[in-house]
Amino acid sequence: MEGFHFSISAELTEISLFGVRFEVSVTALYSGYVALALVLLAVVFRLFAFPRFKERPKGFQNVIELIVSAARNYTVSIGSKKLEGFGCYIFALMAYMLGCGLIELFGIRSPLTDLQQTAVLAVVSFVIINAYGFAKKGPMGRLRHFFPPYVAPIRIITELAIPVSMACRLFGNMVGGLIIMELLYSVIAPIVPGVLSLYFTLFHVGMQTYIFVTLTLTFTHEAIE
Amino acid sequence: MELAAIGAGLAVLTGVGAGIGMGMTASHAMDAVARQPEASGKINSLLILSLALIESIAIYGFVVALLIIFAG
Repeated sequence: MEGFHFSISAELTEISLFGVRFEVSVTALYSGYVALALVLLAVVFRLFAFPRFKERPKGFQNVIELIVSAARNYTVSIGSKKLEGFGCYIFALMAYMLGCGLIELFGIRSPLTDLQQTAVLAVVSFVIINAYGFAKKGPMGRLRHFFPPYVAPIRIITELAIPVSMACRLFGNMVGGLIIMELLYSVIAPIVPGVLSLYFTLFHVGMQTYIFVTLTLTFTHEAIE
Repeated sequence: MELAAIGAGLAVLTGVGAGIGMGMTASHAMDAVARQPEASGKINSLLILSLALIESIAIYGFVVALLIIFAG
């Protein structure tokens, strides 16, 4: 058990940006790298791959179209036709969360095991849910949700519980996986953790992404109903 | 420190309720699939979603226990 180290907050590292040195946590740094990599990938695809797409897809174009249409179909199947434009947010969220989770394969602590990062994701989702609700139903339509006055406190608490519960759920699940893997590495080093990390690193991340995305979609659907 | 460990153990007891809830959910989902096999796709996604929601109860207890041990 002597090899087991764990702390809730990630360790700090020092970076220098434009000559100014400051400390950031490792998770924040690598989430920035993941976002940067995704943006670069998107720009490269847009500039070099998309102009060569044809009417009849084949090869690489088929893969891209499959992924994009899967995201859109999933959005429409949970929500309704009204949510079709929401698919791009869902796709971006999935790409970011999968990138953040799978970075653990390189031996880096996943950004999703930091409560700050999951809280950011949850707050962004919460803002988008409410913005969609206001945009589709108008201020009065959204406020009618809190009517009659005697149910308003319960409704407000329910609304405010959404980001808290989403952040804590994601954080708890990811940290649980991380602790189990760390324990395994400290107890039995050869082979066994490698096999089990198929579940605790690969499958687990996919599962949590699916759940986070589904919850975002469900709440958005509820907000525009 | 010993008392903190006891508190963390008590916090993790939320898993009992979550376990009972998940068992009931899964059994009813299986009943539903047995009664109407053609609806199994829809039932499956609902099952996963509700299991995730129930699991979050256990996770809250786990997070509280972690906070007691590491941040308390």
